[in-house]
Amino acid sequence: MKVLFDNLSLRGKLTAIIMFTGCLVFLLTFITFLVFQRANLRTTLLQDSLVLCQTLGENCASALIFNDHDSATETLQVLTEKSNIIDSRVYTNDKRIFAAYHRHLIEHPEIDRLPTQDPLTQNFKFSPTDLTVFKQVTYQGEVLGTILLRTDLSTVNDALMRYTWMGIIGFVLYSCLAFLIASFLQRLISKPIEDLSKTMRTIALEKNYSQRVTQQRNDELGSLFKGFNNMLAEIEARDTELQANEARLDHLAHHDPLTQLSNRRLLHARIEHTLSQARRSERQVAILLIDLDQFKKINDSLGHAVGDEVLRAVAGRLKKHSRTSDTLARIGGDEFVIVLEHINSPDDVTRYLQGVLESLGQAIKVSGHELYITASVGVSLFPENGEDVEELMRSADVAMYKAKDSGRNTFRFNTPGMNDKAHGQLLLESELHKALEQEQFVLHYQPQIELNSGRIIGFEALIRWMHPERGLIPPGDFIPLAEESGLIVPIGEWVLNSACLQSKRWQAQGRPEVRIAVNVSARQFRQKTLIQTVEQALQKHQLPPHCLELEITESMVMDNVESAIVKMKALNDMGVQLSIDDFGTGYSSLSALKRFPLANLKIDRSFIQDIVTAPEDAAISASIIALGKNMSLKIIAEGIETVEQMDALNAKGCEHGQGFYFCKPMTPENLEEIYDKCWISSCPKTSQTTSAAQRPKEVTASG
Amino acid sequence: MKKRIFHSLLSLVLMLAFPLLAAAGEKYVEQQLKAAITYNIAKFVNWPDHAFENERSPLRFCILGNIGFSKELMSLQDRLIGKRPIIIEHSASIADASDGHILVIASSERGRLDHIFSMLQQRPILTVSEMNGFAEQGGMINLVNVGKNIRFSINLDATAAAKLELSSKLHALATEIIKNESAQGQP
Repeated sequence: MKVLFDNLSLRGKLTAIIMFTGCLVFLLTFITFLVFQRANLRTTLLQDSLVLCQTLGENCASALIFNDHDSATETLQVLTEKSNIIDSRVYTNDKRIFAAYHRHLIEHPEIDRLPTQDPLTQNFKFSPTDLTVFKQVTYQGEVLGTILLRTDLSTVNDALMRYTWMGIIGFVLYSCLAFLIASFLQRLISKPIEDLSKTMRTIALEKNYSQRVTQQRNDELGSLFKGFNNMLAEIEARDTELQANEARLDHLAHHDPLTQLSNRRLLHARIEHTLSQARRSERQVAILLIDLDQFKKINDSLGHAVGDEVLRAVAGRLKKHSRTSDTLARIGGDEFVIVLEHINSPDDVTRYLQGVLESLGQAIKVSGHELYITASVGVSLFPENGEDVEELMRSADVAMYKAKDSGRNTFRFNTPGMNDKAHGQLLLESELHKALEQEQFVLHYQPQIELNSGRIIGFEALIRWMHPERGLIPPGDFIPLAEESGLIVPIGEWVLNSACLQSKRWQAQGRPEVRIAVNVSARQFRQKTLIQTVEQALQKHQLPPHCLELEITESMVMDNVESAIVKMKALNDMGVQLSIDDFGTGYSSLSALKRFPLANLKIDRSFIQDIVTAPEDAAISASIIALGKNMSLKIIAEGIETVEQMDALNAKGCEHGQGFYFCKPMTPENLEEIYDKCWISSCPKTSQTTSAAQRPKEVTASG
Repeated sequence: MKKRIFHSLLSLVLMLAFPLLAAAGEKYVEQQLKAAITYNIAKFVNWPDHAFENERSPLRFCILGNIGFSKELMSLQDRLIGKRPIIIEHSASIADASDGHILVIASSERGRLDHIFSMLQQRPILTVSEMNGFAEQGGMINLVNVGKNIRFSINLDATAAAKLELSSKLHALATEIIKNESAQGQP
């Protein structure tokens, strides 16, 4: 029952309560009415019966006096007029029946004797179906007998039954009426609540918390509405705050906090949008990737606060130069991107970029410093260089490195050919970046041997890439790419530092000083910072300069002989040994060679390979050895694999060699066993050219 | 055998004797009833106020001639009707009965009825008799035998002339009511 009630709707509950109350009141009233009516009817009947009894008694008195049964019987016959009288009897004082009347002339067993009650105190008796009254018959004070009258209660009962039926019909009608009224009345309470819940649903659906319940009431519902409105106001306030927060977060998510330019994410979206528009209108779009040159140095030397100021200044200048329709973004530490729409030809871009570079070239004054910033810019064009954001960004990246390669402070467009080539290598390039960050590179060391004694005179440091998935990758597979992408510079620095560290470590472990040869790449060699880098590496690891040998190739020095000589001299003055690697494969000018402050020449392995079988190779080897001797250079033969090769070289007067015949390149740990057995001090301190040593240092720090 | 004869004889004697005994008993009951009716009728009659000195003055019954129920009537002496004691006495002549209230006339006085009524003139005296045709001749209450019961007829002209009021209840019990010179049968 309670469950049933609980499951009713509020309207149902109210209707039920009103109806229940109404019906209960009706029933109670009706029952009270019935009870009173019954008592009333009975009292009336009793009085009527007593009066009738009295009258009959008086009329029978004379008959009793004169003992006239017939007369008495006749008198009683008047009762036939009253259909509710069952029977009547007149008794004499000695309790004999004097006269009798019966409606149906049926003997009734109860009537044969007088009721036992005292006639004076109780002269009537109700049974469920009839009423019995009796009265003494007197005449002039003399008691003559008793008269008894039995009345059918059917009239009373019929009346009551009629009332009951009327009550039932009335109850049904009343219930219907009560239901209608209750249905109407409950709305007074349920309607506002329903309206409220409807409003709530609307608000929940529309999420519009500025809506309010408009009804004004002074009852409990009114305070409910007020509370609801207060809650809505609270929610609205929070919602506003939330939206503000979201907007802030959104701004943070899409903007660079330092310069307030778009970040990489927003940039991508913008480019995509621009591209889709450009596609429809068949316009060109240019993406300019601007990378500040040498920015890291500013950060390192002047601190990040200054670096940040510089970036802000750069952003300001770029902003000044860009049109409002152009997108400007900072996507990395010192990388900016400008998206140019509405360009008609690459010449537009060129003109624009010249302005930008000129603007950036002006001095930036930050906290007392006057700084000069240059930038390298890579340009990719839609649709020439790519159809989507990724392609275009990659293309711009490649072009930017091209600009860097071209000596910085310039810009380069991407040509489709270059782009295609770069495409396949880009993956490897990104992996190279990762390799550098995660130190996946290792150095193996190959001993260099004095051929006539078999002693170790030094080691050549050789880079290896321990790729986490592909395993050991030989340098030939990634060095050219590293060279091209410019990654060779940081890799080279890492090699230099690692080699120095290893050498110092060996010394610290009590081993004698030993020379370690490190290969220098063309790009690394061209770096103005090379000398500085070498100097820092030596200082950092407290390594004597004569323990470091730098191997360079013929082609590196022959491209620009004069500047190469300057650099080599500077290195030589520092005390670092220099050697020409792969000698014999390039086009060395012997006159130039004469001017180089070299310590060693390394005969290329291709000559050694066939030195026993090919007379030409043997001849070239012999010539190089002779040349070296004449120029006071030590000769090192690379790639010695057999005893015959070694013998041949020995015979020709080659002093040093390296190769699998002696020892393959090994990790430092593996090497240490051999290292300890046949160690010789190999740092030829005498190899420095006096002329170079006497020269003043020409090391210049570049920006 | 003797015993049987005795029984038969006994029953024969009883059969012969019973009607006689029964007749004697009936006669006695009849006299009593007549006395009772006479007495009871008095209860239903209203005399004019001047017939009594006060409300406690006795009600006088006068018997003229020999009536069959005089003994039974006499036995009712000193009873009360209402607050009045009753006096029952024999009157030697009609003149003696002039101060009575009820005059019971014997059947033997039939020949002198006209004289009696003329003597009574219109005094408030209720005349009662069991002689046949008493009411028709001007008497007021005439006792009559109806089967074994005793009933009465009333002459309302006579009572009205004597300024006597008879209760309507008496009317209901009367076998015959004479009024305005006509005899009315009991309804």
